[in-house]
Amino acid sequence: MRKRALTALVCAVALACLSAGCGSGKDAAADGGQAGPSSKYVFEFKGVEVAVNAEMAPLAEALGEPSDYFESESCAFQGLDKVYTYGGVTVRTYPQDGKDYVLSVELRDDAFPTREGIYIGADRDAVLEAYGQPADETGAAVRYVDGDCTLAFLLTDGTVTGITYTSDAA
Amino acid sequence: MKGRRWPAALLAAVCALGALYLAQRLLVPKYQTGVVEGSMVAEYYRETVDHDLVFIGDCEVYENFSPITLWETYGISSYIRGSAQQLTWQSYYLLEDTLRHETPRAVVYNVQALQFSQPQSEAYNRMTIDGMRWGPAKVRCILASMTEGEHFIEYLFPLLRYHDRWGELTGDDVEHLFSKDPVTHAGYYMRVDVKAQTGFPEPRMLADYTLGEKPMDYLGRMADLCREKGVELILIKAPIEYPHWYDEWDRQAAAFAAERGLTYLNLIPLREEIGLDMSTDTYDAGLHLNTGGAEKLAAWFGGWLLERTDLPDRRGEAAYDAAWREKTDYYNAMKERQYAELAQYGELVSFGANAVER
Repeated sequence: MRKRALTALVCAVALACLSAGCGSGKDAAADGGQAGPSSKYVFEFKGVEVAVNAEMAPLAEALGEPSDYFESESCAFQGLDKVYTYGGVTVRTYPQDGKDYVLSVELRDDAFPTREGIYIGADRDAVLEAYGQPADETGAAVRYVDGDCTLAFLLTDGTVTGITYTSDAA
Repeated sequence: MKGRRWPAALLAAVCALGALYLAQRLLVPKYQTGVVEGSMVAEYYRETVDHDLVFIGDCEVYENFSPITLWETYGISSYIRGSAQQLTWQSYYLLEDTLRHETPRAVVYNVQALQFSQPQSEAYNRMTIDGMRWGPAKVRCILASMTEGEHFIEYLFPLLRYHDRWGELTGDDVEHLFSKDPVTHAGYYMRVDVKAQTGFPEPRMLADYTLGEKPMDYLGRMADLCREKGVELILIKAPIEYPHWYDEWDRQAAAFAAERGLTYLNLIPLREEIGLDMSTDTYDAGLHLNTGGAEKLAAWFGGWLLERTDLPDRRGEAAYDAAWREKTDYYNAMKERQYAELAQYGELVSFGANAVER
């Protein structure tokens, strides 16, 4: 009995080593997000579609030189968090598997409306008219969720003061 | 015949298990060069003296406070149980784990991580959890921390997670197969280089500034556990401006402290009083302090603590003197080595990003 138990134990451990995790192939130093956009909420400016979880490198090339750029090394060197500013538009990225992906897009001035025509300064009713029933609403924000993106209209006294597209990897 | 086969089978089993054990020792990351943060949690168990003060939290504690300065200036025996992006529930379980070994008079918790309601990354989980000693706290910490795709059994048998590291093995993996060098100074991560803070981007706009239920629940558990053990819990926000610490979060942390009868100290507005100059006291443009900054902050914070707590001066007690002399010597030696590298190369080459084995 003891012999069988020992043999079974050794076999179990060896089998587990050979099989478990083999399919994952993931790198412990690079995870936490899910690259690749999957939402109808996409911001477009300069003729470029900027979707959360899209790879940043081709977007950065298409958008041209940002007015400001900031990068910071994450703790324990797990990659660079980057912030691209194009006037009133801020794009933040997260690293995954050696590439950067869009974490969020923030609109800070009225020069940049959403595809559906909502801009900073619009009122809450205009947001609801353009986007329909929100996923949730507080006095400070109206939020819509689709796929991997949360689109939020930040409100002050019923007026839109900020618009954010945020990846659920955030 | 049956009797003869039995020892052979036993020997085979022992050999197989031994081989698996060796393979696991070889393949798990060693965190000895460059990315050393994964060694921090385990290093605590080497301590030979107790601590009257324990810091718990993320990089905002292990990169910003020098326990050596607290010892040299005030005789405070302290330790930083920090790790990279340590989440609030991980801090709670590390507190539980710490209180199994000793009962400090005060615990300082940095509130930065309250902004995170979900596990962030397997890499950070591993750096915090793998070094914990096995016990109920570690088991619960794993269960609270796993991201999608992680499995408990991979924590139990790390070989299952790291079996494909064969191609990434470095000299460190062989050199530190059975032993590790210390990478911290009572939990403090040393960097003497300077990169001035110049500015930060606009803070992210958030739709909801409410701190999450999960981190606030674990903060409550920390307060309960400290009260139960007679330990004073002090909440702080390190004097670092980026990532942004919102006023809304600050008010919630302060309200929690007031409700629980705890002290909460936001150090950001006190930087001038502390004497911090972010053109010289940071090594990474303001995200963390360098050693000069960490020494200034520890000197100020120790004085602030002593006005409010009864932390004893342990200088003159033989066991403490011996233990801290050893730590201080190691601290000074590493400091000299880092300054020598700066003088020779203009930057650190054996520490930090330049030393990361990619």
